[in-house]
Amino acid sequence: MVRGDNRLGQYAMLAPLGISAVLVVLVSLALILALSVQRTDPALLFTEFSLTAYRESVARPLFWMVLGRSLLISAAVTIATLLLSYPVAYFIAFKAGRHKALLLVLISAPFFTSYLLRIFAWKIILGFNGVVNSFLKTLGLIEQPLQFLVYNPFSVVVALTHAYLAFAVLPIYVALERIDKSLIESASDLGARPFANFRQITLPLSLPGIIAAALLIFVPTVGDYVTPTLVGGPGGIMVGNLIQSEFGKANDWPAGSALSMAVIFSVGLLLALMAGGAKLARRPA
Amino acid sequence: MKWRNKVGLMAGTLIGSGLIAIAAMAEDQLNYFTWSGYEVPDLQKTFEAQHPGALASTLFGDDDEAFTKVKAGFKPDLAHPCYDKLEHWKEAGLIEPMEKAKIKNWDKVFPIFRSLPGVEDGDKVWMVPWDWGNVSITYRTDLIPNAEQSWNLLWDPKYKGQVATIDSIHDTPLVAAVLAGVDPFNMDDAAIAKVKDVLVKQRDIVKMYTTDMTSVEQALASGELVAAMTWNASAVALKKQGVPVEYMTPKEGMLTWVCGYVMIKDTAHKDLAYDFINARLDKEPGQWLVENYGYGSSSKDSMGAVAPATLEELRLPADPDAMLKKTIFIETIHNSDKISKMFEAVKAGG
Amino acid sequence: MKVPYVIDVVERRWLTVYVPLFALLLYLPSLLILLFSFNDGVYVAFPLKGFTTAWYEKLAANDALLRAARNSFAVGLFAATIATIAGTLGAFAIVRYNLRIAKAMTVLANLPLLIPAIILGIAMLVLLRAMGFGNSLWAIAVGHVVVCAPLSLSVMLSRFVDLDPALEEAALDLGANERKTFFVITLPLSLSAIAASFILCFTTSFDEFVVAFFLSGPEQTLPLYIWGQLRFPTTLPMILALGTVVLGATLALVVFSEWLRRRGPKVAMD
Repeated sequence: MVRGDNRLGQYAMLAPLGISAVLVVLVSLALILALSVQRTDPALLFTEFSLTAYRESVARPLFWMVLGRSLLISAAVTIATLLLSYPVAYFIAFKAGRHKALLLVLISAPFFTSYLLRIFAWKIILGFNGVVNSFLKTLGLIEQPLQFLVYNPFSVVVALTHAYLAFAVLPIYVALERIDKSLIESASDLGARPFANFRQITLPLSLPGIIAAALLIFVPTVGDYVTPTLVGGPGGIMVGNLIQSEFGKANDWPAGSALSMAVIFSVGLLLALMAGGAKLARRPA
Repeated sequence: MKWRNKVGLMAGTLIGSGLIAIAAMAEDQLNYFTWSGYEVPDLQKTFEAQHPGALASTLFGDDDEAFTKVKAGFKPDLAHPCYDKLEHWKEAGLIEPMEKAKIKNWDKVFPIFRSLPGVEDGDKVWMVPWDWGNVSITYRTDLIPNAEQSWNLLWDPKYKGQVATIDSIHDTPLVAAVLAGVDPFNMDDAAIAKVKDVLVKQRDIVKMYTTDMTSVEQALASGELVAAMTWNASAVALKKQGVPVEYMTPKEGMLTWVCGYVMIKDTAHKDLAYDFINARLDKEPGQWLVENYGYGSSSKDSMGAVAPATLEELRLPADPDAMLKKTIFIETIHNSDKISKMFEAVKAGG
Repeated sequence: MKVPYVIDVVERRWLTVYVPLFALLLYLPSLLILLFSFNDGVYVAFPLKGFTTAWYEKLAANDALLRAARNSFAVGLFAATIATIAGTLGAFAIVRYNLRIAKAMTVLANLPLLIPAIILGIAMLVLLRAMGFGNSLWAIAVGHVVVCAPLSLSVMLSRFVDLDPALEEAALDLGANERKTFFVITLPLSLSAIAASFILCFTTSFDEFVVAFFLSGPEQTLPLYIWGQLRFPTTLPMILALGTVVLGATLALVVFSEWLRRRGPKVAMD
């Protein structure tokens, strides 16, 4: 069977995506690349070529420390979200029957309240007189409220994990839903016990969904600055805050651009390494 | 199947587009780029009467964000930054000076604001000051009895993890400079290094660096914080809710800020802009500002119109001249970019 | 014959415990938002001060907040619709056709996720200005399409990769042209993925505020409004009331459509 040679039509299908994402991406990258090699000058954006921005902002231990912290936080968020969401996606895909759509919407509904409101809610939950502290106090487990639950990296991880739960459930569900049940059935017929069945059939087949989810969670959280600003405290500052302050308070767009290039490059490299590692792992022994 | 999908998609797009189209802005309006809260109808009664429907306000939460947006290409007609940023706006070529003659209420502005360096320029004016206020410490009188009236309270190891400070370069680093004994507005590299040491000492004590007064007031109310750097309105609000707090008069002096209107370069709506500014300098808007937000007005008439008891409660003098002799006025901060970077580094842990 | 999924007796019990706990975790912030929207106190902290509906009354009277909410909905619907269309068409073309630029396209289309939002915001402002457009809600909508497109692409790619081409090929063999096959076979089989993409995009757009800030004109979106109001502690409970209303409306909609479905003719579900 030959799909039509309607190349024009085929390219046309790519067009909406091309225009929106690619055009803007190329412009953005061009812009920050150009800006990052400028000398800082408050009056003009493009003055002269200079690598000062990289030297002063990127080649600082502080930047790499904060980037490292951001990557760790994002990794923690991604792992926590995936672990928490997978069973639920599984449940909906295999057990929910006629209620699938209903459950999916119910899972997504809490995220239609504003994220900023939910962060305030987390402050109430983790805070001084908050839910957790009051609960532990009434149980008599503590006398003074726990002060370390909020305004630190922990609360950043908690808030972000909660915020991204739907982002994990949905893609994993999509992948699980389409697994051919007969594969699982045959494995079982051939004597596989349920957990081995899961590990060797279901899990690998749901991998595209897991990977999609992981990317959707990990990449954006690295650059987030809203969550650290509201609940991060001094110890929870992430690389997005550094970039934000260069563009805003410090009025140093070249520095902000240099930092952004470094972040994009580092995360991109990390992803490429992981993709390469995954390919290697899949090679037959 | 097919038609249902199509209908669904079309419906979604149409509804969306329709709603957005309804919200589209009409032409020939004055675009006023200002702090969230300064666009309320109560502040533009005169202007509305003169030019109904002519005001369109775009809002921001922070004048650093505002500066970035205008620098990136956003073109409003008027903007409302604070005085310490005026030089930045000028240097970036974003604003043009206004004709003093066209601002008929210019003489109503207190002399001390009119004579700030960089504001007046011959017969032109770069910024029309409109609102001002103080920065000091709001603290719980029951949790810190007999507090020393000094900024050092925010550095006191006794209150580790129970203190908050404002996350902005024209507040915390300035106080740190004062405590380090250097001139906050003219810091050289050596001075910046000294100030950095002071800020690093504070980092272990501070629970959060923030401009989110909602969370700060909440935390003071619940006792999570015992002291915080705030604007004057917060102490008043907390007292109203029955929380035992006091607004400190530190021996080193409170900080005082002033903000005002600047005209964006090559705006097409100059006449509307002048009408707007003149309307804002009338008695009523300034009075409303004091009575509702707790900030001071730059207009003599407005301050005069507020009841002395209210001013007393807000810790605002009827004449800023007197007060400003005892406070630290936030003027142009030289080397602010370097100081910003230093402050960010301290906050991040370096 | 019983199909033995992983769920055997032991695991069935475990999941029956886990899923409700997960739901509790999910809804906990929302429950608190609900709780404090009726609290007679300005500060959102325990202990509770008493019951009041004053915040809801203030909400109903607050034009700016309601307008911001309406704007966010409009922008979200638009962005989710366009982004889902773009992602679906794009993902299909990438998976089914051997186009040379497909690989490069996939990488580039995923890049908006990687680029810090502040850069995207500034770049799009510069781009839109260069093209002669001004700051407005339309600009935000376009900006959000760009932000959401990678999400849609990801979900639809993972769906189409799994989709057995045999079904489409069968249709083609039977004489349907490609367009008909796409609309009659491919899309219906991918409905859940399309719905997932739509929901993800809508949620993202609804909460997105960095790009929205740079592209905004006089009309605000909800996150911009809330962020700007953080200086005004007295407005928080009113915003909580709004959050509760939105959640309540969503749940009501869900219950209503479920009721409709049960009343409707029985249709064989896949």
